[in-house]
Amino acid sequence: MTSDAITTEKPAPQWEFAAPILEFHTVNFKGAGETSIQMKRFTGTIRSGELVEVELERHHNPRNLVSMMLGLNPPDAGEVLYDRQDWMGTDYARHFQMRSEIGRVFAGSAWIQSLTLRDNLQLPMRHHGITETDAEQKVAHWIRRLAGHQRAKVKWALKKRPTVVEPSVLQLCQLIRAVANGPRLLILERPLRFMLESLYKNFVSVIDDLRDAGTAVLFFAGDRDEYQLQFRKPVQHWRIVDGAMVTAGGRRP
Amino acid sequence: MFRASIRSFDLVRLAVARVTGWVWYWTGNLGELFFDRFGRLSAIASVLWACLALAVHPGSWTYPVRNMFSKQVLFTAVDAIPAALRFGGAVGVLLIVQAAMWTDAAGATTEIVAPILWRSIVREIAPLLACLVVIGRSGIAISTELATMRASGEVEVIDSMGIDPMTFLVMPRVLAVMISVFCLAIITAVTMVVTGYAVGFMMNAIHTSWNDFYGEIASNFELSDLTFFLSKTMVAGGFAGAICCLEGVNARGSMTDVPRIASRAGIRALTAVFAVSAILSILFYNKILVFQFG
Repeated sequence: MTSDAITTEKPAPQWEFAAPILEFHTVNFKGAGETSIQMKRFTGTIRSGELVEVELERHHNPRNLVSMMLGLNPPDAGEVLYDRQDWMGTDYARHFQMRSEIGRVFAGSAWIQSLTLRDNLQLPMRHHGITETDAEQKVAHWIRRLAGHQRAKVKWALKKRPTVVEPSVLQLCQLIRAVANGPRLLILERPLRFMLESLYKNFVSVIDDLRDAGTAVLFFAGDRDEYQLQFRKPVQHWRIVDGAMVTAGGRRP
Repeated sequence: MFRASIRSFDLVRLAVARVTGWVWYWTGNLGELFFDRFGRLSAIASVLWACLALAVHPGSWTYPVRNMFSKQVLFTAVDAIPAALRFGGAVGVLLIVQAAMWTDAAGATTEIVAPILWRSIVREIAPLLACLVVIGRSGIAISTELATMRASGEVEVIDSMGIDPMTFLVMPRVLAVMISVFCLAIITAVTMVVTGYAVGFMMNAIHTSWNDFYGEIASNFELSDLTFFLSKTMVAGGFAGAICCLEGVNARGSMTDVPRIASRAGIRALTAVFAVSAILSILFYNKILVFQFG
């Protein structure tokens, strides 16, 4: 009995030995506009199962920076690697395959307005070869896990186009879309914006479970509520100093 | 004397400098214009080539892409049938009645007129009319939709999810426009002939029976007509679709720029369709319009 318990128990995560998922090597990035977060000779790594929290000020907009991490915009200098592969060259099929493994909650516009929410949620899965039944099951599973008492509201909203759905439900749906296909890297830009406080604990438990499954998480926390979330330790903290991201962390007082 | 010659020398030097400057200025402008047009043309050709390359690759046809393609065909071809019928009917009446009246005046018979009319309809007018319907109805809508998606960050969302915007947004639309132009051109051609005959017959401008009229057309139908028709509809449709998509996807700026982009896309697509149509005619007939005799 005891030996069984020992063999099935998960070993404590060895962060330094886990596979690097997202790596930055002396990256310079200016971004577009004064609210964009910059990088100045930034070097850092996010490993499998690791959670990196970046605390944002109200005026910070992480969208450009995250797009750069996903290879949509090139950095001004340096190298960004996802799963030890870069975003350079013209092997676009590989780039799209790499992006399909990354879940993202967007700060700002996140929906294709001409599709219903259900089609929006299923779009990346269906495009990457998952059958309709499986996609529906995955969406239903994550609605159960994340939506709590808003489950009925979310199910109702799936038939609607994003413009007529209220922001708290849209934000939940964004989270569902980001996690539905079991991403290897999850990038969350102000994920709790508009979300009801009663659902925070669901969010934390989902993030912890994903980390257990090996997902690396980069969490751009948008306000004080988000800074106070109690994720499973250890949590790395990166900070924004003078508009530029630095790895020297520590939670703010 | 010496002073006068110096002054005239200065004047000549000034004139030469001005002319040289003027030549440089216009040469520069001409070069800029050439490179701009060449760049635009090569971008359109690249989009067309990429669309065809993606279309023949079975892996591109995922469920969302198939869905997008079928929706676009429904909107561009099926929903446009009434418009094509109206245009075809009106132009058919104008063309056939006018032609019949003038040939009557010249003493020619329907046997001579029918094949000429059929050729001009199939080879020139029907593809052009179908292009006009598709650009006016769907081309501008496509560029508006894509420009709006670009301005509101939807293209970035699609890209971030690992979906190639070229495969998901552009390829199905360009193919749908090509196929729609082809199908609508058939409908337009048939409508033009039938309506033209009916109205011409009623106005006593056409004196033969429908069977004779149709028999003349059918007996004069050649494989080259089909080649003309197919190439004109597909190539012109491809250009129209590619230009509308390109203008939309390349949109910069905010939502307020979208109407300007849409109207520009419409004008550019129309210009390209007329130009392509003219170039194909020149190539097919191997004549530089009417200037090559013999």
